[in-house]
Amino acid sequence: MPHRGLRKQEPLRTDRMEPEVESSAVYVNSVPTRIFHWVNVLALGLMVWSGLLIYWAHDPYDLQIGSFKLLHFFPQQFYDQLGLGRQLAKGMAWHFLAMWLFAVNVLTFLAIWAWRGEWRSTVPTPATLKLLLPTVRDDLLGRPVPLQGKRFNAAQRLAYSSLLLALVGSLLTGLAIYKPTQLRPLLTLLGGYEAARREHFWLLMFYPAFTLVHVLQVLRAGPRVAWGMVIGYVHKKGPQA
Amino acid sequence: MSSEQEVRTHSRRSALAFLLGAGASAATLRWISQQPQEQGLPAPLRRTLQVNEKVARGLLAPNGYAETYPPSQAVQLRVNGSEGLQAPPPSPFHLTLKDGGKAVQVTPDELRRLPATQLTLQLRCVEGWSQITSWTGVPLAAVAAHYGLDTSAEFAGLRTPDGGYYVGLDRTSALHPQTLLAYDLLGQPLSQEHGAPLRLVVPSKYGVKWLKSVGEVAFTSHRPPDYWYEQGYDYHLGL
Repeated sequence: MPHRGLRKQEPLRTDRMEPEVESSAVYVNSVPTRIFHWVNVLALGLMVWSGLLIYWAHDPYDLQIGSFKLLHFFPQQFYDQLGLGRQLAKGMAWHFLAMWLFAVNVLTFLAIWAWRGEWRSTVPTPATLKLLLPTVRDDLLGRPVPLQGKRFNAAQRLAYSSLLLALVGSLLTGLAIYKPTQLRPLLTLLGGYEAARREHFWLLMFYPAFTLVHVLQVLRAGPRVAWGMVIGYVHKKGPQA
Repeated sequence: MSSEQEVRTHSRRSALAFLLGAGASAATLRWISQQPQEQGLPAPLRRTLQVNEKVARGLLAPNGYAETYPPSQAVQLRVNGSEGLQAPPPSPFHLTLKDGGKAVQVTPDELRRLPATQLTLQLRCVEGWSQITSWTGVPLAAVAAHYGLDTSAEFAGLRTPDGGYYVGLDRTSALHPQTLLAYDLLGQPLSQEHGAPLRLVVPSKYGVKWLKSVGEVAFTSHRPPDYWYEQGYDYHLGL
């Protein structure tokens, strides 16, 4: 059994990994990380889908600069193409089922993550801020990226911390609009009912953005790194793209 | 350090677990959506809403007070539905109050002579919008007490005079001090589209439970029918 605690869901470049003596495989993703990752794909997917069924019934938010409206969320085409219209009751029922899976998964992972001290290799440090722009620049140019510790580079630290924060934010804002009277202190903390719903929506919008970058990075890293989120190991075989 | 053998065993087990998990998830989602419908929802989703209701009532304070606002924050309420309002309200109007044994007929004017309560609070719609507005009326609990109704039954059922729209409430919500039979909106008698002459204001529930044109209130031990519950919504809809 693997006993080295490298646990995270990212395309680690194999050319940066420490050499193993007995195996060419490097253990990159622990069991809790992998379970969290895939359950989150399922739970978050269900939450986003059912959330859109709910949002359709009252969709007031726009992307705007000053008073200039760039984009309405969402255009009618979007609902039509994805079949999201006229299913509010269904959306609510699925949302309030999948919330259990979502919440239990996120909270369990965070507990393990904190308990094992994995936050140390994930949360941004002062160095993260300094290295962020060079990291993104080098990554875009296909150059070797400056490492910050063994685990994640600055951009990864920021991306994964933001994701965890967004997941917790979605949970809290969601609870506040789910039970605004019963959880009144939480609602007050979030700025009231209208504010909490807006926050819940903008947190939702973070996930497609994150997923897009995440999937692109995995595609760049290649199938062996992607498969590492299933089996835990990444096999070191020749130079990586 | 891991040996080649350990790596292979762990990888094989992980891949197998992943495939089984993916298969089981897909099968479960399919199973849920294909189960027989119960009031407009697949039975497992209906069951979940019932569990959620138990959790909300058990774990959280079920009789908390909704936030109130200064009357200056009240806005004109939008009109969002006319179920049960197809016909103008009968004239003269009578509200029927019932418990297990008796029925009492009450006129809106009689209710206006009882001590009034004014509440400025947020109406929240299942659709997602909310509006702060101002209501004047009499707490349903005070009305029931005034007319000597037995309110020990578990539920209250309310319906429009023509029976076209009907809602059910748990006893706690029906007797909550913020639950009103309202006759004024923003200090003016209710318009017909807002449910003249009497409308239920029940801040612990979504707007679909705020019955317009209340023709009957019955305290009952059987769970009353509920219009939107039959269309696939949660019965409880508690906030």
